[in-house]
Amino acid sequence: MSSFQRYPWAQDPHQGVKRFRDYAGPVRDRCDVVIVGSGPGGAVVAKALADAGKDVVLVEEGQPYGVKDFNPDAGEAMLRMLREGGMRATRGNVFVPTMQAIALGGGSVVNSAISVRTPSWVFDSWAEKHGTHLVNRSILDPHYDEIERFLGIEPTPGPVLGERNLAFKRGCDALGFSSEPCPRNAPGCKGSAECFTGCRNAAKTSTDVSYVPAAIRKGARVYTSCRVDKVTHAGRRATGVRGKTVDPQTGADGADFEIEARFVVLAAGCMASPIILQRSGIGNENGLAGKHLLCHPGVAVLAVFPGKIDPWKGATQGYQSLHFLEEGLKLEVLWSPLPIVATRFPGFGTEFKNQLATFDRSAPLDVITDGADSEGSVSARPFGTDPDIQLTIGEGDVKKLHKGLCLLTELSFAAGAEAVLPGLHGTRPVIENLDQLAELRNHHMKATDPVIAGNHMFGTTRMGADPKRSVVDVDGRCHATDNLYVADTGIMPASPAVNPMLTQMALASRIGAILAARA
Amino acid sequence: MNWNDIRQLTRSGGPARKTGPVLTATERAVIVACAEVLLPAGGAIPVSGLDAGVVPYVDSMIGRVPTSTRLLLRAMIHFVEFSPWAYGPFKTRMSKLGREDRERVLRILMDSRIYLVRTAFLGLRTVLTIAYFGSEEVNRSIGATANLNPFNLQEAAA
Repeated sequence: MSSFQRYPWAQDPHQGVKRFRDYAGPVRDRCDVVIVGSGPGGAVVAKALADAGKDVVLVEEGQPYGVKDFNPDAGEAMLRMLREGGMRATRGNVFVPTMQAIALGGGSVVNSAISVRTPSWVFDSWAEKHGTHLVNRSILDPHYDEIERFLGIEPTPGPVLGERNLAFKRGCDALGFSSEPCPRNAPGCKGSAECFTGCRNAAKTSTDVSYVPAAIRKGARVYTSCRVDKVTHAGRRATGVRGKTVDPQTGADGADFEIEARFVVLAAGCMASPIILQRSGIGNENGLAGKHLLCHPGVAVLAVFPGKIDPWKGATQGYQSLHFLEEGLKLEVLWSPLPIVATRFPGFGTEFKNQLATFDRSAPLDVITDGADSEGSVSARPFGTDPDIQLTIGEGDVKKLHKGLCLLTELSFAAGAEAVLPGLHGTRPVIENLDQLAELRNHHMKATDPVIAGNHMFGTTRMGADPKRSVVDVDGRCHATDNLYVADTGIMPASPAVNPMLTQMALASRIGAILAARA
Repeated sequence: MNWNDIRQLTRSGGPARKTGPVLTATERAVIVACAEVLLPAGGAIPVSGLDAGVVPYVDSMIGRVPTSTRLLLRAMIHFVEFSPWAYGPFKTRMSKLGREDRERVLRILMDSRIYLVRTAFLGLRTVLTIAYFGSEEVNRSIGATANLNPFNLQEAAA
């Protein structure tokens, strides 16, 4: 771990970060570039610009959480670190639960650290459909290299895989599916499986302990508990951002907050950035901000084995199969806090509790699809600050999810499972053999049958060459506003095929480099 | 429904969280009635939902979510309370039914062909399960105690 000198480990990585208690009244500042959001997009841009000697202000609505703040209790962690207490869901043809972090470091604090490069054929497809030819692997590979080095990204080491991940590998091997340990930004991982509630081993190099402190060391100022409501502007030039400080204990608005800047970068996430644009009267001249919401719809099964798995031991998501990636399917090992996984056990009462007795022999596995047939939109609710998210899961994606569910079931049996719980309405709650798997294959699955999770949201401020079909250009700059940029997953015009964090960071790194030359 | 919540919702500011109990007596009774059936004592995990403290946990959880989410959760509780009128074999509130009848109604919700009804049941069960696992005793019963170094790896060099 000592080779990754992101910050002196003995020191507080959040030293210098301004918190709500530091604000005596209205907050005002002035800088070259103000960046909204400290997750994988914003933090990378902040460091790139601070390294280039620019005067940078980074604004974050959430607060900093340290190792001592992390609580493995799912409810407590969701209430504190996820928007809407972790109970956010889309509306549309199905309710799709989806999560967004609210913390310094954004989603990188609570995700499972999977850091995979997007294959080159995906960028070719983006270029063909959206004219994003300047974004490809040869352009992004130096950025990928630098991020991987800085964060200590490496394949999940064997000693921390645990039986849950090894069972997945066994199943893939038996069926001839290619598989590999997930590359992750968790160089100190001990396999405690607490990624989603914050790593109490400080093993994950989330942006709050990597890029943010690195930017602070180069002079960036970081304001937390500050919610940006609008981009201020004079004519067609952005002049800064305006909002309110937010009491992290009560969620209530505090004093006014305003930053003047020559350049503005929105990296508040693909839910919040388009809403800021919608409210601002700038950067959304074509009215597309918030349209074309895309995601990776996913479903999970629970495989029950005859022997101990102890699923709470081992890297959270340590193994993956990209075997079906070009068909739009990615298979993964899954782990999330216990009660979330527990909801996969069927029934209730004593029956439910007896099912829970098999928890120590169970392994949750999931499949995500490319979401090519699903689309939605994000807009501001009439009241409050949370987004109204509409999403329609398309028939094509339902078919892919059904195929993925069957593949995971087959994989589970190949790994030695004695039963698989598919969590699918209208079918057997427990599948115990291959004959019953055949029934599952013949089941005509509807979108409302499984619980579909909305993983990895993107696309709401998509990039492209055509100002009539996109919000930002290939450099992340709003088409009609020369000094306003977007640098979160919203700019992805289509699925990155794999978990989007690393590619988002690479895109942000490129935007940071471009902006460093301009600002 | 709590009118303070609705008033709160119309303010321009963000979500305001509350401390202390927020559930009304009726809402509390619904949670108790459902917890008794969904998470009874006995079975592989001996402790019941009520003994594990799900009611105060849910109360605190609902108080701490943003106002709009709180309204949805409250709507879910009231839907379950009145569901016997629409979906059950009885025209009585859930919290007034005997245990066996509550079980019958909840099973109808769980297996309903109507997606919205199933979703309400799943939402209720998820909230109660999160609260149930807030108890250390429940986690211990299934052998899932937190372990920061389950494979006994040596400390990395500082």
